[in-house]
Parts: sequence; C-alpha cells; structure tokens
Amino acid sequence: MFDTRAEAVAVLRELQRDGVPGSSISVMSSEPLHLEINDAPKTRIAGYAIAGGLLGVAFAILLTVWTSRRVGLVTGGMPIVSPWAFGIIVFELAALGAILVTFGRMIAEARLVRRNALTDYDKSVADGRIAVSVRCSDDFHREIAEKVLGSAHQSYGSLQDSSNAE
Amino acid sequence: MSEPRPTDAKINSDLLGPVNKPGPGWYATVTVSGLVVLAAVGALAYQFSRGLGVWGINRPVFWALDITNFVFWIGISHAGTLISAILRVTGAEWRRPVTRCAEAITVFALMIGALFPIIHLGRPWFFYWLVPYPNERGLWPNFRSPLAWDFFAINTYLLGSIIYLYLPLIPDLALLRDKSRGLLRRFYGTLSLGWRGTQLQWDRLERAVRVMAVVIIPVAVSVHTIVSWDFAMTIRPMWHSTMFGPYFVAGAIFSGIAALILAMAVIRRVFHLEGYLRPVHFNNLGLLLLTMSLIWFYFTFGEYLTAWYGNAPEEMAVFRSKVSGVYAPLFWGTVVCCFAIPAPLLAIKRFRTIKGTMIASVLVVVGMWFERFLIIVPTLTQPRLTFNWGTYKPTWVELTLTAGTFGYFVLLYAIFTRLFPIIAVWEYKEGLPLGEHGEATVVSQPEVGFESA
Amino acid sequence: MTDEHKSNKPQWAMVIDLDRCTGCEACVVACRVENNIPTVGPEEAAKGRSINWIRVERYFEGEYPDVKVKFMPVLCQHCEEAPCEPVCPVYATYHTDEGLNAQVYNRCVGTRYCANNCPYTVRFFNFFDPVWDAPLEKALNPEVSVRTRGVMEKCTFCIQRIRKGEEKAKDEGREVRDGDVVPACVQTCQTKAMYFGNIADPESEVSKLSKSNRATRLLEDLGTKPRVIYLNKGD
Repeated sequence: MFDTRAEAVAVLRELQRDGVPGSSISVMSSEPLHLEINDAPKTRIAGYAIAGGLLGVAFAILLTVWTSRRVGLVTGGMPIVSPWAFGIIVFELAALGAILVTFGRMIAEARLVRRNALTDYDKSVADGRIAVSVRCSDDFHREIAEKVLGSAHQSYGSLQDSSNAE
Repeated sequence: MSEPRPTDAKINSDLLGPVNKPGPGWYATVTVSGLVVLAAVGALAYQFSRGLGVWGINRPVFWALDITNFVFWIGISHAGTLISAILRVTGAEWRRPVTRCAEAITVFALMIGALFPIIHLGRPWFFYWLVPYPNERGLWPNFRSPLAWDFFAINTYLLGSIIYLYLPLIPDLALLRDKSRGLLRRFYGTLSLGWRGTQLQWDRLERAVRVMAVVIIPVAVSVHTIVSWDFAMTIRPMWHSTMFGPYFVAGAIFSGIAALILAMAVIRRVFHLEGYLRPVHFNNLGLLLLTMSLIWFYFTFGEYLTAWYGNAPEEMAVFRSKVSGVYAPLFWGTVVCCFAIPAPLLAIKRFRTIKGTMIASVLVVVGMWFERFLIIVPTLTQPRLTFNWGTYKPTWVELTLTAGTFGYFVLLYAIFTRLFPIIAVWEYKEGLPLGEHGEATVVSQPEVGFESA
Repeated sequence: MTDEHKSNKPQWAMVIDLDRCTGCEACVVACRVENNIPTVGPEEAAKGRSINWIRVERYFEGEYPDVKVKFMPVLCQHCEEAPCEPVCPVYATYHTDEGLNAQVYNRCVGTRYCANNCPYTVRFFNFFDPVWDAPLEKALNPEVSVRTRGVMEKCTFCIQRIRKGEEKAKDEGREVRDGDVVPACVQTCQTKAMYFGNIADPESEVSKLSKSNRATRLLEDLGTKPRVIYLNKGD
C-alpha cells in the first residue's frame, strides 16, 4: 500500500526493470493514474463495438424486410419493402448493437462480474491510497517481487503489509 | 488556481454527504413531489377507466398536451448527451463535476417522455403491439410509421443512456461499497461488479465510455429528429417541413441545457457543493445556452418567414393563428421567454452569474414547453377543409398529468442523489492536479479560458 | 409512388354530383343507422367529438340577399395513396386489393396518427364507450361491429354490403354487376346525386361519369388519388 502516486510509480518502474511482466502487476487506485505499464494486454473494445454495430444492421434488415414481406399489406402506395423508412430502424439497431456489445466486452476485458473479483483489494484505496499487487507464476518472479516490494515497504514505511506476492 | 489539492478524504465526504446525510430539504422535496405524482396517478387511473374523453382532445385536435409533454421531456433528455458525450469527446475539462448530473437528467427525462406514447393510446393495454415479437397471428408492427421509428429510437437511447450513466458510476459504486456496511454494502457491492480500480480496469472503462460517447451522440441526434418526424412526415401545413429535424434537435439541446443549469443550481445549494459546482461551470453552460437560444431563434425565424413568404392559404391560416390570432399571446410569450430575455441576459457578462443563468433557464424551460404546444395544436385546429376547424382546451386530467411529470422527475432525481453521488468522484479527482509528491502529468484545473464571475 | 397493384377484383369508387345535392343530409342519417354510429350527446358534440362518417359541408358565399350555399358531402375518399395508411404503427389501416382503405377495429390501439394525417378530416375517434339509450340498441345493424372506446373509425364504403353483393354474385356464378352493391348513403339520396360502382369496369356508371367534363377530385394536388369523384359545374 502506498500513499502517493510517486511512490507507486517508483516501485512499478523497479518491478518492470527487474523483469516482472506488466500483465501480472495490478495497481489499484481510486482514480485513473495513467501510468505506463509495459506488456499491458491489448484491448479489442473498438473492434467489438464495430462488430456489434454490424450485428445490429444485419438484424434490423432481416427484421424489417422479412416481417413486412410476411404481412404483405399495402400502406399508402409505398412499396412493401421501403428502404428509406427501414433504414432508420437499421441505424437505431446498429447503434444499439454497438452499445450493448461494447458494454459486454468492457465487462469481460476488465474482468468484472467474477466470483473472486475483489482479491488483493483493500478498502483504503477508497481514501486515496494506492495498492500494488503482483501475481507470480513462478518463484523467480516471486523473489523479485518480494525484494522490490519489501524494500519499498521499508523506505516508504507504508502502514499495511498487504503488498504480498503469491 | 494554486490551492493545494484537497485530500481524498475531504472530497469523498463532500461528495458522498448527500448520500449519507440528506437534510430536511430532501425529505420535503420527496414528500411534495411524491404527492404530485400520486395526484397524477389518480388522474391516470380515472382516464384509463373512463376513456380519453376525459382529456380535452377532440376532432380535429387529436393530439395536444399528451404529445406536448412527450416531445418536451424527450427534448430535456438531450442535456446529458451534449454535456457528457460531446464534452468528453472534445476533452473539455470543465465537464467533470457536471457529467453525472446531466446523465441522470437524460435517463429520467427519457423515462418520463417514453410514458406518453403508452398513456396517450386509445387502448393502452395493447401498447406492446408496437414491439416486434413473433405471434401466432403473424402480426408485426408497421416499420414505415414514424411511431415505430420512435419506439426503436427511444429505446435505443434509453438503454444507451442507462449504460452511459452506469459505466462511469461503477467506480463510485465501489467507493460507496468500501464506505458502507451490511445490506448497503451488499447493494453497492453487487452493483459495482467487483470493481477494484486496477489500471487495466480504468483503461477499459475509459475506453468503453469513449466509445459510448461517440456512439451516443448520433443516437441522441437521431432520437429527437425522429420525434420531429412524427410531425414532418405528415402533410399538415406547418408540420410538413424539411427543417424539423435540426429544429427539434436544437430545441432539445436548448431546453436540456436549461434543465441542467437548474438542476445544478439546486443541487449546489441544497448539498453545499459550492466548491465543486463553481461559477465557471454556470458561465460555460450559460454561454452554451446563449448559443442554443440564438440557434433556436434562427430556426424559428426561418420556419415562419418561409411560411409567410410562400403565402399558401392553408399555411397562412395556421401562421396567422399563431402570430396574430388566438395563439398570439402564447406565441409571442414563447419568443420572449426563449430569446428576447435570455439572449441579452446571457450575453452580458455581468448578468451571466449563477442567478442570471438560473433565471434564463427557468424562462427557457417554460418557453420551450409552450413552444412544443404551439407546434402541435394550432396546426391541428385548422385542417385543410375549413368546415372542420376546431379549438382546444385542456382539462384537469391533462394538467394534472403535466404537473405529475415534473413531480416525477424531481422525485426520481431526489432518490438518485440519495443513492449515488451526483458528482462523479473519480472523474473529479482525475481532473485535479496532483499533490506536491507526484509528477504533475495530469490535466490542468477546470478553468479553461473564462474568468470566474 | 409504386406501380398500380394489378388486380382483377372490382375497384370500388363513388361519384357525387354536387349540382344535384340539396344538402338534406339523408345520407348522413342513413349512414349512421347502417353502421351503428354512436350519438355522442350534446356536450360531447359541442366539444367537437360527434361522429359522422359522411357529413355535408356547407360553404356560404356572398352577403344577404345574394347568398349562395355550396353543399359538399365528404366521406372517406379511399385514396389510392392514402396518407393515413403508412403512419399507423400497427397496420390497423391498409389498402385492400379492391381499392378500399380498410380500418381494422380489433388492431387499432388508438394513436390517432392516421386522423392527423388525413387531409379530408374523415377519420373519427371513439373518445368514450358508445351508449345507446333504450330501445335504440334494438336498431343496431347486426352485420356491422360496434366499436369500443379508443378505436378509430370511418366510412368503409359499406363494406358489409360490398361483401354481400360479391357473395351473391358468386353464388349466382357471375361477376359483380353495376347496381349489385349500393352503400346506405347512395341508396338513400333523394335526388340521386350519388353513384357507386366498379371504376375498373368501363361500362359502369361511375366509370362513365368519372370521365365527364364536370369531374374533379377533392384536394387533388396532394397526390392522394381519391376514389371519390365530384361532379361540379361550379355554379
């Protein structure tokens, strides 16, 4: 646990310098810190948004064309399939598709809605402190993590020792 | 501003104060608005049991206050999108304390507006026939009808706005979860989906919000355009206008900003948020309101000039009734409320204070409600075959329902401020410069370009 | 907007001779008796809610004693490109292959959009449930449904009589002839100012009259292509 952004940044730099991959470090804060973490996983949200939009377009075209053909009633002399009018439905459902898929993908990428979502978390983050946690898959990284975080603990004198590696 | 950044604890307690400790004003507001809503519910029950004859609508004025309220409230809902989305997309820093206030207005105004397509029906219990669902009779809605477009547009916008309100709310829900106990903690915990605040999550959240902002702007534009097309797709004089799309969108943004200013002014006073909602915000919103007032006037002038200049008899009948006939007092009153008073008031810096913008906003909200009325009713009173000209007078049922919409809005908003912080805590913190320790890489204070009054 | 829907069914149309119309309103009475049109009462009528599927519009010209009155019976024009049809969100009104503008009471949810888009103001809404004081309910026509509140209605060209005439012709193994189908208003008109028939049949009366040099249509420039033709010498 750290009190200021500078401390957390310093520790982060050291961890990365010593070879801990960015994807296993979690820095938790109550506001976005805009740090630069190497090896951060890439996002696909924009691509999914476009895909969601296309899905909406396809669904809307199917819905309007198929149902108006099925009903088959003439209204006002307009053609049974009226592209201008149906285009509006297509637009709206495209937007809806993009919105829903973006939302879903964001939840998935941010790993929310999971059973053990709140691991390594401490409530004092809410008051402005910053938590750094490292998930280590092997002992090599674990030693580095323990060394870096341990010395940070000593030099910054953080109150809580929740900076543990697994 | 060179003040040191306030501590997170102070920010938290200021912005979470209304959630934890509502004052007596909150209870009074909820009681009064609750009573108004109850009266409206009673009126609605009466109407459902007896029929639409209890309204003042007739032949030829088949739509009146019902559709006025519908268009008005959908218009108000354009506040959130403009402020939140456009300002986010353009990176305007001063938006930070304002976004959630605006997004909440959008959601509630939409919910209220969306009620009217249901309650104005002759047989409202069949409203679901507008939903495309498979049934054994092979019946589907008619997608050529602007009302079917309304259904899709409003629902898309409503879902989009709810998600757009919810996404930036998640970190604040986590904050509330960390600060509460027991049942409340479970409530906020579930809603915050296990948010930890890792940089990965922040990144994904901000990306998703940015995508949403980009998508929701055209949706918002399309929604009120489609609502305007309920009129413009007909062949009624002074309805069948190609300008209605942009005209209505401009009017919506106009009334939306006014509603936002009013909401902010009330919240600022009631929750003691003077340090967060500062004169600069009202100044900037006041300038936006001025811009929209000018744009509204431009469109209105264009509409009326082309009608008058074209001199088509059926259009002139409607024109005359508004400009010099039975509806003249309302029409000119609208021009005064939407332009003649607010524009100079907002243009002169000395008057563009919190109080000044509030007065302008009240006038605009009232003026825009009547503007919607004047678009709908005078055209309907004068159909092409002059033998069928008629008049309209609202009944107590319609007036009670109208009052009920305002009460319902206030009630929903009050409940919202009690459950969630009305200023986005994390977004506000993000915009402050860092304290002495850290690198000052974050954005500057929200004082962009304009002096505080 | 689209090419004509080719159909070999009869295409119903009506001709009204304004030079014969005396404005007696017998057609109005006949229509309401035939079609179970409710009487809304004086208060509701004063509010503008009375229902008259056919009405006689009166226009006065000049000052006394040189006053001229023009009578014009107006009913649903059954426009070939009816503006009321596309705006109904639930398909409660559509165009049949016989050229009628159909109104489906069971499907109508009462948005009243169709009424707003009708330039002839021929559509009517049931603001309340209809009431027939005893013993008038005994005079209801069993061949026509009674509409509830919340539903739009208008002239149907007496579709119940059209169906009867077509069924009779089919029973007799022949095509529908001119004179088989007579709506209530046409039947009652004292001065024989109204004609009804199949305009696709070149031998029918309406077909021949529609080619008269007195023939006009109401609000023709709107492009609604009404099936009601008015004969009017203008004087």
